[in-house]
Amino acid sequence: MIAKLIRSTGIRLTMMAAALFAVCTLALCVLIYLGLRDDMEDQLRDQVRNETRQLMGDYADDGLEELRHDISERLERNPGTRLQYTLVNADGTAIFDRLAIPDTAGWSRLKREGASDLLVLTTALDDGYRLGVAADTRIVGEAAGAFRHAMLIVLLPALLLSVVAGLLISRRFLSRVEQMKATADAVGRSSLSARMPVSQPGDEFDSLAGTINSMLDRIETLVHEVKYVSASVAHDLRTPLGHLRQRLEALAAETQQPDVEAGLESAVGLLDEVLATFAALLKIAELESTASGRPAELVDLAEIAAAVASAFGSIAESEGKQLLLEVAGPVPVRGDRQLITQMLVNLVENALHHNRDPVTVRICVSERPDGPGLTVSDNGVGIPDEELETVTRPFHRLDRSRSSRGSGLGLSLAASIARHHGASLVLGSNSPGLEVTIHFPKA
Amino acid sequence: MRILLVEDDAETASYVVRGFREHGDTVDHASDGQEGLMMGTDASYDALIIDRMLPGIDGLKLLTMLRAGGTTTPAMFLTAVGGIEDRVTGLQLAEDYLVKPFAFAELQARVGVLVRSTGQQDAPKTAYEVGDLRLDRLSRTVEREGKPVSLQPVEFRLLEYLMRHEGRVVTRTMLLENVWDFNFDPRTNIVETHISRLRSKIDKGHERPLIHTVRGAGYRLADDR
Repeated sequence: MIAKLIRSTGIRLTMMAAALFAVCTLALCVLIYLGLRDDMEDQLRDQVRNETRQLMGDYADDGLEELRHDISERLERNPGTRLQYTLVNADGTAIFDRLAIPDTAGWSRLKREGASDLLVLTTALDDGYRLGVAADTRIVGEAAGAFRHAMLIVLLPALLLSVVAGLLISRRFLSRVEQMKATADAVGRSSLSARMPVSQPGDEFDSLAGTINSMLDRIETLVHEVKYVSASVAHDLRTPLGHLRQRLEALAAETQQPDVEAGLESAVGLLDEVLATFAALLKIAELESTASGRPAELVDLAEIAAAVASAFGSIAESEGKQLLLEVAGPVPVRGDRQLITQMLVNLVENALHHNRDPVTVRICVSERPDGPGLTVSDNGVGIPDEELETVTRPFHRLDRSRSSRGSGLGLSLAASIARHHGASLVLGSNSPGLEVTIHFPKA
Repeated sequence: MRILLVEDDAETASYVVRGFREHGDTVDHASDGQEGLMMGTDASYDALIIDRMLPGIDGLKLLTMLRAGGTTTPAMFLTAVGGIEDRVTGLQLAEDYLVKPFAFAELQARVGVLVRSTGQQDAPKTAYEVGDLRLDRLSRTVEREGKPVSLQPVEFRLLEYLMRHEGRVVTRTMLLENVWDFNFDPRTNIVETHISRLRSKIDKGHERPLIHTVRGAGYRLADDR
């Protein structure tokens, strides 16, 4: 389930967009945070610098005593929000707040255990005295903390919103893809007239759909041309072949010589075989080019199997072979009774004729959870594994001499009929023998 | 029999006309749909044989128009168009459908049965009797010379079809279509095998055989005295 979700392009795109959005927002917040902190520190520095300037002004006018007096005054005035002051003499003895200020003049940062840092501006006075004015950075830390908090509150819903928005957008996007897939499936099932939907705005999807549609137009035209050609060939070839047959028949009826009559009749027989091959080819062409993946009529596979078994049972018996039927009950499928019958007849004939020795052929009809199944299996010579794939192609023969009777189209016609019904025809080994399984879609 | 043939191919037409005339039937020939439409309304024909691909009005349209005009003469399409769908649409209008090229014997046998079976007296009966052979459809029993004959269901259907068309030639293809419901030609000799089994049950040991082979055409069940 989760793997399937991850495979979905929509979910993947949404997650990627949400992640990108989150990273960008986070980076933006960090930038703002850093800028804010620097700004606040700058303000603190300004405060410290101003204070130092005032103190130094007094010191320059009235000396050290006045400076001490000034600082005492400031310490008393507002003890809560005050800056911190220290005055260190040459011996290193500190007066007022005891801060460990550096020996050199300038800015420094004092780290404190369990409290926020101090920003100190050290100024050198006469006689080795040093003045340090410090500001507590606690306020900066507090503001940054508040900002981080606010950031989390904003970021979480924003992330959630971006996922929801992404899903909505991707659903729209995927529904277009789904539509296109449905159309492509319909075309794959040989409904060549299906076209991709094209909407007004003319976005990339519409442009893709347009391209695919013109490709489909071309394919449809070609298929129709092929159909037209085969229909014309059918007509144009059948007519002269029909005349030939008529003349041969008329000659056979007129002749007084028995050997000539026999010769003419065998010629008619040969001609009929040519015509049968021709009819089978046209039928395959028709099945492959017509739509109707699933014709509407409901037929009972078990009944068809029983009819074929009864038609061929006694014939198999007379050849010393056996034809067995395994059906449990009615198995409905959607399809053309005649075509399904012909498919089964071809498979049964294939099994009976390709095995000279006494063979047992089994027709098995079953209702499986994923749809009806029809199996024809025998315990005869079978088909080499490497030929299982090619054997359903037209004119494929196992005995390359082409000496055995039949057009070599039986299995390909069966495969075409299966495809026409949306069913799959799979050849496998019955060890020994051949097993052909036709798997129908659920009725 | 009086037959109307609507066929644009002159050679096929003359072959069909000659064939029927040799057997004493009358055949009129129309060479396009227009002519066929004019002649087809004549109610004295016993059967219409119509080509599907005709110049002007095609065969399908011709028969639709004739039927709409009230003509009920049994009809058969004779056509080079042998597709699965074509056959289905053809059989919605006509009583039979024969794909070219064909043997004359096949056409003749089919027209014979067509005329008979759409005629007045040929509704399926409950029992058939030919000579001393009797088939009862209700009790599904068969007797010859009063003695019961045991038949498989498919043999019973085969005999029923032969008896229903007593005296008429029925071809292999007609039997495949009507007894086995196969409208295709299997490679196996199903018909021959079952006829021979039926013969051994019906005719074997009797002085006069009832099932006859008609060379080059098919079979005929009759009590030929």
